[in-house]
Amino acid sequence: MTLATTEFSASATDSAAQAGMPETPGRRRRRRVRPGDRFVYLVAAAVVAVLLFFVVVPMAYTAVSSTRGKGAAANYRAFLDGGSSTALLLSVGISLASVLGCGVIGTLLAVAVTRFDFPGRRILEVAALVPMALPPLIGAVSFVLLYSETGIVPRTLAHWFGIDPATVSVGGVGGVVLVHVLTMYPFFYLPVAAGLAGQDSSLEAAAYNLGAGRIRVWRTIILPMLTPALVSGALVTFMISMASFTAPQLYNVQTLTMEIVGTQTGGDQELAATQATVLAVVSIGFLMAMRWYQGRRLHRSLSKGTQRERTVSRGPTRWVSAVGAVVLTLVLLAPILTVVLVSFSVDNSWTTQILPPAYTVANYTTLFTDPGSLLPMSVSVQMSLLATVGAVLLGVAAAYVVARWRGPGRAGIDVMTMLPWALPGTVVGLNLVNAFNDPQPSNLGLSLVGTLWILPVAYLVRFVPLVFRSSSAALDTVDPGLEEAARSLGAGPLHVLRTVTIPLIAKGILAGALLAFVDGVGEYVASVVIYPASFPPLSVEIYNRIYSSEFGTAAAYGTLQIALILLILIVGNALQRGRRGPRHHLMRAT
Amino acid sequence: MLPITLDRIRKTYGPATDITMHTTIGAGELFTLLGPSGCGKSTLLRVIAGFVAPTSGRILFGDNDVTGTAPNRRDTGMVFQNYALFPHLTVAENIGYGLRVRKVDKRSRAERVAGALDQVGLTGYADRRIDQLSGGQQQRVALARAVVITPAVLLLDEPLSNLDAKLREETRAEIRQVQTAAGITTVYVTHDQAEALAMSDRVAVLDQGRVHQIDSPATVYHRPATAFVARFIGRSNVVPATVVHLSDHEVTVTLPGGASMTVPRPDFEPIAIGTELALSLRPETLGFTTPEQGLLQGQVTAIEFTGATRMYTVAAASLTVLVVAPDAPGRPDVGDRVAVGLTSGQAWLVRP
Repeated sequence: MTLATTEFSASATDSAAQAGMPETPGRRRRRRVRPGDRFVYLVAAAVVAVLLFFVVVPMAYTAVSSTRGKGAAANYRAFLDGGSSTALLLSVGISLASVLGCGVIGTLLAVAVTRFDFPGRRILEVAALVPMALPPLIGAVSFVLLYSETGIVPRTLAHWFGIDPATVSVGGVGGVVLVHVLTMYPFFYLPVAAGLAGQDSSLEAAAYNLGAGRIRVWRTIILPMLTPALVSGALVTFMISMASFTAPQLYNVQTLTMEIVGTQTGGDQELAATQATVLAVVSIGFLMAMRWYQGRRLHRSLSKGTQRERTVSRGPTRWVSAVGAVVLTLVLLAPILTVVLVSFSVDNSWTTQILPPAYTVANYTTLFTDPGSLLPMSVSVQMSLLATVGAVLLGVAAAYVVARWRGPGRAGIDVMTMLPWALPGTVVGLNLVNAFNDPQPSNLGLSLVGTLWILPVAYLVRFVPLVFRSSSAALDTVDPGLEEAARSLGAGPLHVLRTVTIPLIAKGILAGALLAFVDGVGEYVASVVIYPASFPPLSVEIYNRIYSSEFGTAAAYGTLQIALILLILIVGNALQRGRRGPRHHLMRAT
Repeated sequence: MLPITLDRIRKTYGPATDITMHTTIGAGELFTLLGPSGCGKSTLLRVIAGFVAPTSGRILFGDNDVTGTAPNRRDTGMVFQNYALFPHLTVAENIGYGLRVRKVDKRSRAERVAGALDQVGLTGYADRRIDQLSGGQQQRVALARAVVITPAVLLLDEPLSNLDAKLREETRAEIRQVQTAAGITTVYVTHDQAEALAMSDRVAVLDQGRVHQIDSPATVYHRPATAFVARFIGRSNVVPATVVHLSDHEVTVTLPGGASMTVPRPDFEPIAIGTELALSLRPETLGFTTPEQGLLQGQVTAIEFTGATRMYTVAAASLTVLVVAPDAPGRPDVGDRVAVGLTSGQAWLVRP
């Protein structure tokens, strides 16, 4: 008791003395570095260094390059006066149309499959995900094969109904928008379907109970709760449409991405850099808008989603909706079916017929026997593997830093890592060309242009956000208390990372890595800007084959790609099973 | 077995939060940080564990200054409120984690894990997954994992708060037993005063970052230092009291209503004639007496039957006083005028 009392009075005097000390509000005390934070700082430093070297500095190179030549003022005036500003307007117009089309299709489809029951609903639900299995280049090609003036659909209509193919074919700007809408609507479909499925049906019930009619319930309850999904869907669709290069190239539409490649190929590097800088600024603006929007407090149901009844269609509506479901399913499956069918056609045999007239399996056998045909696949697979290893190291490290970093600078690392996701592949390619063209102190003497090494670097830069996002999502579910428990048991930070954190997020890492790998194998947009002439990657080879009308071989490559993507989607789904919370979808840019 | 010294530890978060403590925790002692949520007790525990750096002050384990030492080099075992068991490891792998880090060879690791499992009554559970255990079993695995490394210091952060009432009482006896057997200096954080009184060698009562009292459970209960402690530990009537006379050992105070009483002089300063203090009157020390002997006069407003006793709420002028009296014949009823006086035990002067 005596001992305790003395201690207590000591404590009392001490706190009294400190209470008398004036506390200056706003004045920051010198913060002690928490023991153990040093490791996070160290990892952060490494992450920032790599991101600066491969992402930020190359972007800066392009920006600087846009001020060279005749000078910044002249370059940007040339941008405004020349075809570039028209191209920019065209890109914006196409993107707005794509957002509108994707929004309508994606939302209606989501409402149909989550709120209604009709024959064919389950098949439609599966078919709705098919665009995710379409490889970027060959996917766009399939739309040309289907809907262009010499495509399967107009020819069929001409043959059976005598309709002039020119009136039903889709080409030019319309073709680009068609490809965008039918490949990008999942940006709306997935979040809206998830939102509708997760919505607490008691909210609706409460509104009906208070006397609201069906339309009022949709207008005042359901749509406001879907707003976050719709807004972020719109932002992503706009950003990806602005970055789109494949569809404009196939339909020969002069969007800004096309202009950049054209100008660069034409030798006017300063103007190309100017165009790329403008496009990058637009994309980064949208990334920032998205971050801002998602950072706001959003409506969330307070209770868990409950199973709700679907409205069952009856009578004539039932058959109308059934036919609609079948037609829509066919439309959604047609691109993949076309690619698979054409992959068995004899090269150069398909001229004016509706479908290819002659079939063979030779396309596949040559792919694996002819060294010249095997090379692109082996280049893409190896380079993508290499890039995936790098993306895992960098992406996981960045996710770890963003999740465990205390204090300012966190958002900066987040933005830096996500930056390549917002940047069009064309711009990423151009940035790397500008930064690694010849040895300089800022690129540590690395001259990668013209070598095979430029490919894995480009894939790493483009797909690190995929690993970053899926690792971050996994890390969010790991209680930091587990790491603290391991620390208190004597494990150092690296040991904790190895024995606790990484094993717990392994599935998330793997899911991201698989996506990064498959996207690397199919990468076209940046590859076409940077690939070394003697080592064409797979997608460039596909383009070359199409250019020389070897549709069979091109489609055979494409079919293998589709098989790979399907495999990885299935594995990824198996990994996700049992995990709670929203899935993170990041789709590739085409 | 090491004493822990918190040498003028202070942790501030902005101008609103300011936590201070200065004390020494004896070797082998079970020392409890007790207070309502937000009082800073968990922060102090995390300072000792090394997860939070103090704004100023030093932490010593024995003579060793560990203020700048990383948590993994402090040799502490910690039981977390949510247990923080590794979900990807089995029970045995969880318990063996710290031993593995310490490079204990496989055979003695297995022996010690088995011993720890036995100690917490979970023999046969070694290969279970964590999600196959009940809350109480998880709690015991967490304890075994912290104790098996024979740490210099054991830290427990509200380890029983996720258990139901009955299990909580069983487990607190078990924790105390394991701690005494291992003789580890232990810091225990809780908001449950009954738990603190039942388990601790000494209790530090905190509120809003300030230490109100550090004493044995009995002292904290019978001789609270402040009105906050009197109210927080058990039930107490804290009545304003003005000093009218004082000697070296005793103080005479008057209560609202004019009655006066003489109580032992507490050891805080300043106390002078006219000082406004507070008198802590435990409900069970009060009873009904004649108006001449009563300290307060009032009217019974409510009666609660609790079994062996009844608890009376008495409105006396501006005060509401609780009285716990045996359920005997002749007891007052609601609405009766009563005189309340000290019938057993002692009243205690506290700082208001």
